[in-house]
Amino acid sequence: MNRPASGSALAGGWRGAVRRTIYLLLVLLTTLLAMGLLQGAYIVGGLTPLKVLLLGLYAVLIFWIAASFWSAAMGFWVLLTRLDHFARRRGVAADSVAPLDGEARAAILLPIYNEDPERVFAGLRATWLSLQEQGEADLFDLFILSDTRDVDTWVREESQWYRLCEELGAHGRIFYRNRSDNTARKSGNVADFVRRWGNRYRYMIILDADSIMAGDTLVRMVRLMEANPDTALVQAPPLPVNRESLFARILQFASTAYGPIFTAGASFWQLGESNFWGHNAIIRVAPFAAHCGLPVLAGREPLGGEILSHDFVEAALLRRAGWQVWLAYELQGSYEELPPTLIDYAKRDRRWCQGNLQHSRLVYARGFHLMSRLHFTTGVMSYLASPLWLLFLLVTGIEAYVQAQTIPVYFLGDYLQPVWPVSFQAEMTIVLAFTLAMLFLPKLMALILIAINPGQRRAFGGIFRAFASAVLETVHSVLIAPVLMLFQTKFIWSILARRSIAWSAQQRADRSTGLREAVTTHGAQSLLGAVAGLLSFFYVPDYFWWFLPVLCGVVLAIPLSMISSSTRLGRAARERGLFLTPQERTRPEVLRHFDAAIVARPHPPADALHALLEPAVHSLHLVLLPPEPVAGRRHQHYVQGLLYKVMEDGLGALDTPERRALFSEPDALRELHSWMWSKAVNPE
Amino acid sequence: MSAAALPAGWRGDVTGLLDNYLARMGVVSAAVRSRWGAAVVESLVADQAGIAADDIREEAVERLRDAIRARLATLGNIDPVRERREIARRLLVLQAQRNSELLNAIFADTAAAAIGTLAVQLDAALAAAAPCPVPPEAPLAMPVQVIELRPLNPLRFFRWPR
Repeated sequence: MNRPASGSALAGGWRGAVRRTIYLLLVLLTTLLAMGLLQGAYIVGGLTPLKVLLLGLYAVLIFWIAASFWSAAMGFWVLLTRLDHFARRRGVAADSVAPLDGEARAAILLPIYNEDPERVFAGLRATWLSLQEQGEADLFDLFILSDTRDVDTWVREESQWYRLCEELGAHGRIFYRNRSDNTARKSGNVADFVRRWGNRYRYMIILDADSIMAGDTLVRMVRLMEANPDTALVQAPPLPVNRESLFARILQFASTAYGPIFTAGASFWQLGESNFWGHNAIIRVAPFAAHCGLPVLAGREPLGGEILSHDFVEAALLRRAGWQVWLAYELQGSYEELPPTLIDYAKRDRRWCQGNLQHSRLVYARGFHLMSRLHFTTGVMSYLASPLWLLFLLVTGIEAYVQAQTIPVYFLGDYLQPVWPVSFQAEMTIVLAFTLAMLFLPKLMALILIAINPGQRRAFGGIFRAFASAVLETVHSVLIAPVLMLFQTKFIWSILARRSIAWSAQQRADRSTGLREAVTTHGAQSLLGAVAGLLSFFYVPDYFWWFLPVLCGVVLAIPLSMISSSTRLGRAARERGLFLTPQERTRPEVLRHFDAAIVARPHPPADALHALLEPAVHSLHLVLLPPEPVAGRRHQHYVQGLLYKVMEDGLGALDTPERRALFSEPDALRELHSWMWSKAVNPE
Repeated sequence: MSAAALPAGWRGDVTGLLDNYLARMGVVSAAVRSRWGAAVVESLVADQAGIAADDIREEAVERLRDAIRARLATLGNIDPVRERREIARRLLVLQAQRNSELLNAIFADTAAAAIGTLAVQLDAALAAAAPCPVPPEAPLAMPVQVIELRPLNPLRFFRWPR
């Protein structure tokens, strides 16, 4: 089935056209209004090139803010009135209790790369246990698709997989494979699944290493797809959970409290041309196979080469082929985890930034739906906005300096009345207030939704605590926004300077930022902030006070980063009812399964050698290795050389590819096992 | 290397090592472990003239593992050298907690008469819960798509299609 079937209840039709027209008009009118306000302040005295540049920058930035604001406003309206025709239709399909077609088999895929296996498998266990509580659990299989290169992690993954199968009686239902080469990274990993086992399943549900999904949600997603044969992908918005650090808890609160209005709004006007976020989504396998084989982009990295942020492109390719892609904001029970610290958050941004910038080449590519082009643009702008804001601040400062240097002329010619200099303080205040209102009103809308719903009020710890949390979150976001602006500007600069990135695993577990790390990472930012502050204070004192909120975040970046990474403060805030989320207050069952699994997770071995000392782990690794090819003499000598190197100097003497080569050779491993037992390590 | 080069207490050292190995595998009975260890030590004594002192412990573990492989190969009527992956699979299943009794029975009873019964039990254990890393393949073609890039030239982008 490579072409969409007709007859879906989710065809956009005239409703889609009306929604998008209204949305676009609101965004345009808001932008024009804001531009009018700013122009009113600038027009007197004539338009200089600097002013024109400022107006241009502001136009782009305010359009971006207005787009986000009106999307949130639409989400607010939708969640307030529950008048979304499509969400109701989706709800009817998902709530059906009719037995599912036995052919509607779904594979849950977990692509992983050098992640913490104990954490990953705790999440899988929770998801699987929750699924087993559903009547339709037999329709699902689970695949752990490992691209892990690090042998220590590889061996731990195997042990965790086997333990999971043993303890849950899931042999033949939960599968594990480690790819011998990780071509095309995550998208190649999933493509490998499709090419090898895709024909066994009608659907695949893609998880991330930190995803947890309720069984009920998984079944509802399959029902949704079954009821809508022209839909190829349904994205369930994931809510962040489980983090303890202050930074992550603040973001968890923000995402949980404000996120729903943004996702509901986006779904409301994007309809069947929504986007794919890479995980916590169900995909129809046949059209994905037919239309989502990703090409390598012409040109060199960073903007050419393998497509890094594959999810947007896959959604666009599905849409290009006529399939619908939906964001089902009403689906609950979909969770993920956030980076624990500001620095880890920035590192994740660095990886995403390159992928998103690569999309700039796809915006004009032939054949994509206009909405797909918009998604690409949105992705690019989510990073490009930072250097634009920085440029805007810089140009504003220069313009303020120019104004400050202008000597007012009070008497012109023979005119006896003095001409007083015109102050635009009021106009500029209105522009600023207008901009801030669009940035902060969505938070207020979200609080209103919480306030009018008794269940939500309780879930967030009461309206006063929710309000206090929102105020503190706003202060936090004001402080970190300029820091992220500088980070993202630097990332874009380094990417455009063709400095590519290593594909490293994401830091997911809670940890604290030390002084050395904070100084190394934020030192230059703070110095820059201090210099900018001093310059503006001495040369443009009026501008300094406008500039102060931006300066504060940058100058205080080091203590801010360290303090916000504290798990002690995160827990203390929770004890005081701050930044509470419904999932913290009342743990959903799937998260309780996760908590139990985390408590019971085994202590990992020191390294792969120590792991393979265990006869059972050694046997398991041999069983899971791919069938032995007939190795040439040169390769045998190479492996033998590696073996001697380990025996002489330890595993640390080998680099990652060498370790992998050694741990892929059964004969060498057998020898190593006996040697380990006999000499290197005391087995007691 | 001659036998004289072997350290004085090597038998006790090797016996302890092998006992430890078998215990780690899940062999509960000390008597059974001792019997398997003694057999290995006996074979080492017979060959000690050709074994270096540095290699004695490694050689002991190798010989124990050979003996285990041979036992499992006999049970499954398979080749102990060519089908080492299958033997590893059987060993893995036997080391699961629920198969502890069977593992101990296999190591304890070397009588030929018991082989048939144990083999049946091992096959049953394998059928019940053998490691199955991946299902049989069911391939699906995934052709690489063409994405026709266009230069970032708005005039070309908005050109009316001919």
